[in-house]
Amino acid sequence: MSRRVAIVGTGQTKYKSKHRTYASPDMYFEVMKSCLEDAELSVNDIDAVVFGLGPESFDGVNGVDKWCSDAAGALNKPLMRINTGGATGGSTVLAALDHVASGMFDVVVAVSGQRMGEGTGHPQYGLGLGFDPILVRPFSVNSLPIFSGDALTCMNKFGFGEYHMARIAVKNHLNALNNPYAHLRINTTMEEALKAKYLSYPLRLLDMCPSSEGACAVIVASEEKAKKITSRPAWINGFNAGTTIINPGIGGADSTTTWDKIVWPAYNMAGIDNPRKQIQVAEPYIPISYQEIAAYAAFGFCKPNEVAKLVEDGFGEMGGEVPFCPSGGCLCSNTIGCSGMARMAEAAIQVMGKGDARQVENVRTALATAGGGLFGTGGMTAFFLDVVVLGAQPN
Amino acid sequence: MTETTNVELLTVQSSWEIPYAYSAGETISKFLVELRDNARIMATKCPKCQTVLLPPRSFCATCFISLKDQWVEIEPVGKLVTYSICTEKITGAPEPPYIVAFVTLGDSSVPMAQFLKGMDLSDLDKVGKELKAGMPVKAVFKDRADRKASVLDFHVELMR
Amino acid sequence: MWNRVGIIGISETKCEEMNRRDSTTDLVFRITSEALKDAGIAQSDIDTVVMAESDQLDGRVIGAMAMALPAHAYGKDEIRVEDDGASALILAYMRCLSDRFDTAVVVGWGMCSQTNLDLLTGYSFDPFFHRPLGLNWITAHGVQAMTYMNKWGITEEQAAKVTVKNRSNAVNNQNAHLRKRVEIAEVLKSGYVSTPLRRLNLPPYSDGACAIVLASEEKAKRSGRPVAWITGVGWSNDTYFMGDKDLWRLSSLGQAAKRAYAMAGIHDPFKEIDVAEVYDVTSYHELMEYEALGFCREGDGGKLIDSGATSMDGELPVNPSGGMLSSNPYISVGLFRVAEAALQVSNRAGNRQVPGARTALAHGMSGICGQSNSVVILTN
Repeated sequence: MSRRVAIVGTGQTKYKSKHRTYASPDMYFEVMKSCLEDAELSVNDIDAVVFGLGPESFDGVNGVDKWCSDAAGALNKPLMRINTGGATGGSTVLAALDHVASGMFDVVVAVSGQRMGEGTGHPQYGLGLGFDPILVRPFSVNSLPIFSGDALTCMNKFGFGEYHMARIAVKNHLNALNNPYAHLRINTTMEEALKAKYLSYPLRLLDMCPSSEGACAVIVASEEKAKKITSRPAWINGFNAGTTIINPGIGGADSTTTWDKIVWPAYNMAGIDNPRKQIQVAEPYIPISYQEIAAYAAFGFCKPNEVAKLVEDGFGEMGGEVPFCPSGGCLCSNTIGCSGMARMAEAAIQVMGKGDARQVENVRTALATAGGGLFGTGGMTAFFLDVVVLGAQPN
Repeated sequence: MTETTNVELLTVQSSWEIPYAYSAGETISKFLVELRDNARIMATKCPKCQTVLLPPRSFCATCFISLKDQWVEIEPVGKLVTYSICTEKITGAPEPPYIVAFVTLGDSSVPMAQFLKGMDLSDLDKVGKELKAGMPVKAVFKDRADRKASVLDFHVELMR
Repeated sequence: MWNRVGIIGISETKCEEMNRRDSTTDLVFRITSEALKDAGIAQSDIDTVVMAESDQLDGRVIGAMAMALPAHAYGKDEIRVEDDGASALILAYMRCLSDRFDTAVVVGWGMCSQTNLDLLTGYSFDPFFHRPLGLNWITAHGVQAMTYMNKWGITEEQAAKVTVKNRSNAVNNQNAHLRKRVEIAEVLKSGYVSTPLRRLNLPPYSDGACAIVLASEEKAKRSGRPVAWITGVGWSNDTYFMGDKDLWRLSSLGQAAKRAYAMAGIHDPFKEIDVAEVYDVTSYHELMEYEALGFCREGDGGKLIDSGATSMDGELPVNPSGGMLSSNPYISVGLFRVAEAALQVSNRAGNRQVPGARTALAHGMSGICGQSNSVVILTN
């Protein structure tokens, strides 16, 4: 059996549109300092560094991990760079887990970030570079029309409407008011949410994630070390990752269609057969409101035809049955290479009882996901999902 | 692997057009502003290990502590550490020939990269023989009107 | 002490100046299929896929998204390292060490013909202190080579011998890009690009891809394939700032080698290693690598090449494949080094086989001026 691995500390910077006070190395140094402080460790306690960064087209430097390696505590240490698009932050945590589970290292830091604000063009241009340069890019495709098409598919398929999307949007934005790191901290209401301008029908302004800059770090440790470092580690009891093809709209598929295939192996590993009863909080990677609704079913919390009712009953709200995104989630802060890690950090914060104003009560098990890829380009494009299940006790 | 010889094989031209406005942050901004406004070279010094870092950093990588407000002024004279003479045009690089040098200035513990100018580059062999590590150099600033808060606001020359 | 992990399948494309037959997708599909065939396994046998790819070189962001499928990763746990291919191999190795994965495919590729590598490497420098000086991989390595040369009195002739050796070796490697011998005089007459680097001290720009299949001990033994066991790995990273380090030595390579040797139980690398495939990003760097890898004392890299010890008929042949000076598919170079080292200990290296090779070393590098280095030790 592989060694057990736990998260023993986390750090995040505040997320903003553009951090004028930071050159990139400054940002990574800050997040490393705060993560080391959280774990009460020094940089000399770190055995290896895994650096996650999404598309460099945002940062404008080829190899930000090399440029910022000193700030990431990687001087004279093993360093590796991970890039899986939007899932990067999550993949980086899993790669750090690989380092420890292999038996080669005991304490490894996973650090990630992105400078979404360095480019002065529109972020969608940078994302558009993900599409095939010969067959698709000439159409100047970006992700908005794809997501709005997918939203309509989900609305039809699962039986919910703009009202339900607004419930999610409002919930997450209000949650973010409790999160000192969140980018968007908007005290909004259902009325405002339903009057907000459309970006691309049916998606309104508050349904979409912002483009945020920031960084996150997570320290993982072997069982033996974790127990020495903190009295409340967040044990990585289940994890999985997988790549699937998404062609939304074809064969009734939507963007969440294959998520269950990737989530259940992680649940099995963690000994979960009834997520609704056994998981107390979720921090999924969901950049658009409608996806959270479909995710209730995709993650096994209910049947597909029950999602609308769950939203109406406030299932995912603070104080609801299973709070989703107490941090405000990606809807309030989305830093491409880093959000996936922020979700895992926030889930760890919940398990470790460090959530302050956003703490959910009695968390024994938390779910976090990270996702990446661009779908709906007419075939053969991969979508990638990382899943972790964190527990207050090792399984 | 057999070649398909009947199909016309194409390449498709494209480029990324992405303008950037990089955030210099507090530390680098101060360094650049001092170059532009005062023709002053500033470095940061680690209070723990006493290393003087030029160009300045906001933290010391070895001690892993913040160097906020740990500024020291650097005398604009120093020594040549190493260099290379660029003789062939490379995309994205200046027109050759030119010399990229690493020089320690003032009390800096580490050398910084800078253009070394004022050499007669018509005889590169002669230049190669002349340049040696340890030779004294000085920083030469552009006129105020031409300084743009850039590392190119000055260059270095041999002190003859 | 460690679960054993071995290489059971290898495929390399021929490296060439411009591959017009394949789009990147075709290339990745083809190379992965061939590696699986070489290993005698099917796609369903793969547990994880680790890719080594540079978005910037490919000209598309989230390149893994497009390449995951041709890399046979549908339904699989797939991850991408945006670092030299040897790093990807190491991540795959760690995955196989834990009992979650038994079989991994590592795929790396680079099509330098699609863009301008010099320009790209310029973007590796920060926009504040280094990019304004027009630094790129050539000029920065020029400064490093100059520093090394002046520190120890290395001569241009000694550096030229590296080019001559590697290009001559490439004549025996049907997968190499440049396969024409060169003489010392020719190297010394080729024009300077950034002193002391002459054009013939520098690698070409190549299109190529490589894939390797790893399996944990049980699976490897049952595969019926010759196995190249991974007995040691080490990697380490130096500072980014060129001025902050001793440019005349590759410190992080020394650290990486030390870790790999400790794991593999190697005490005298020059005696115990039979063949090495190193990352000769310039002729001078190969000499620096002899020193960092402990094949000779610090400062004696020039003496070692003079002695002939690293030639094909010497005690420790280095780069029988022709190395990077003969084939440069950029980010996959380190993976090719691992593939070549594996072919050597599996006795499958054809005309470039070092007879009786039992232990091989492979070296990959990321970043500029030897910032990050990886070392892999293989044994049969």
